[in-house]
Amino acid sequence: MLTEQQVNHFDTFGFLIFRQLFSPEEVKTINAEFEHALTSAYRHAPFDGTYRHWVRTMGPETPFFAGLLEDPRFCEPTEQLYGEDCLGIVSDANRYVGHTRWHPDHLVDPTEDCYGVKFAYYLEPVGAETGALRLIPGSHKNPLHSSLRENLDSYQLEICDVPAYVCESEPGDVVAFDVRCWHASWGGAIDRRMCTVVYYKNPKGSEEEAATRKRATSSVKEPNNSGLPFETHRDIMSYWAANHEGSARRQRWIDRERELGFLDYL
Amino acid sequence: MLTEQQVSHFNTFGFLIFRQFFKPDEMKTINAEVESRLASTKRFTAPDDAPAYMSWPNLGPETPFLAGLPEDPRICGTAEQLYGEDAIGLSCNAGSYVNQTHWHPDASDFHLYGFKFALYLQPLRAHDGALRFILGSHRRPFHDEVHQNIGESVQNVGDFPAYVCETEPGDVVAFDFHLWHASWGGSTDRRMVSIIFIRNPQTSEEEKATRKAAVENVQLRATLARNTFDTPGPEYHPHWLENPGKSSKRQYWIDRMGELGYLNAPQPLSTS
Repeated sequence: MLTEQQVNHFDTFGFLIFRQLFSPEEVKTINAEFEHALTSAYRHAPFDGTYRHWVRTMGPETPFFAGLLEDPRFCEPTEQLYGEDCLGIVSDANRYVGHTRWHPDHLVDPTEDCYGVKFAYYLEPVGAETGALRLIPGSHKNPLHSSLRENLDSYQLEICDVPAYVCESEPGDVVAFDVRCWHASWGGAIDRRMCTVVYYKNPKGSEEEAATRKRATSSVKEPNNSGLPFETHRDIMSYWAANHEGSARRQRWIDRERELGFLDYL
Repeated sequence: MLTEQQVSHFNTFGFLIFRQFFKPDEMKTINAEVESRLASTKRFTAPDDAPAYMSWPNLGPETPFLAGLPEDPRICGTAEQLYGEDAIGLSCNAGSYVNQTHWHPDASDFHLYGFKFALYLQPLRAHDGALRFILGSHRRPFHDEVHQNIGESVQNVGDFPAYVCETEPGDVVAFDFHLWHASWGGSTDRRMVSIIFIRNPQTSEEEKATRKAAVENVQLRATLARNTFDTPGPEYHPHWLENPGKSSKRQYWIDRMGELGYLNAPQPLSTS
């Protein structure tokens, strides 16, 4: 349960840091599942630092990861921030290569795009020069969001020279940020291991619903960018959508996501 | 002359950093002038000999380089680009700060516009007094949301998500009056020179806000003068007001400041 102060902080600045949200035991499990999931998914093309590896971690081989969307430490704060009917979208694992340029994940206008929260956690300690998440606090809202969209490229600044707040973190820490917030990273190892858990706000009204359907259409194409066979994604998501555990919360998400088109590729 | 990108950067984030704006020989002069004025203050006269915050104006003949800074084309040119050709150079103050400075904007009234050039005389880092900004907080509604968030909080200065302006002597940071800023840590003698410009009020509301700010500024500066000197002098030195060089720019500032109330104020009272 977030305090009123945490809710205000998130609303104002667009992010929150939860220090040591995962226990050391859980971090061990996360590491083990991470290695298994990515090694297994990419056995046809082992990681060599040339491109990012990414896989959803919602299948039977990664039970801890798969349970995170329904973990009260994640879904309850999200329900507080985005409504009790928010939608659990993805839990994933990534091996990043190099810097990440400045970008928001979603557009700021809710009639153009849906929005929600991304919980990001790194498996190594990360600092300002070693791949830590950089955020522009308050850029999840206008006027700052749109001002950055219109002007940031013209400043021709290195990623590290754009004024920002650096979220230094240790394994076990989790950063939750609104997906409309501008973010980036600088430096870091070639194998920067980062995982996320993502939720969207359930759209209200026809305009928001249309915007969310647009996002669903583009996210259906996303598996093609991972370098993985399409079947890998389909099998993982089919397992998740089968909801073997009979979770009422998950079933609600699945039903609504089917309506909105997020699961059209299954 | 600012580039289009610099103007846009200032509008987006609320500040600009000019690296090595002052040359080493200019810094030598600035340091010497600040040192000589600081030596005449009550810096060590607190009951426990603890250094206290000192602040003083530098528009007199004893600090000629500092007194000339508002009219330096590098500075007033920037002000005129950002706040209009009739922007008014208000002051060139210096201060010796002690420890941290809590979060605040220099103005909360959105009918008052202006900015500050800040020059720190020591290298400053995140935990020893560097200026921190809440990016983009010079614009509404973010400005007000930050106000609400910080106002309700008991958190430390360093707990708010800010951009830290680490600087070396010679660097200058220019920031909008409405931008939330603070510093964390810092020595007992953090030296800063600030040059302040305001936009010439364009509407009756702006004029009203500026007149109100003038009254508040006079009161504040008088208090600081009493805290800083045994025998405070005037905020605006007669030599500067006489404008011996017949600078038309300065004369315009003096006339307009007079109209707005910056010069009609009573002199600071002596504590003796």
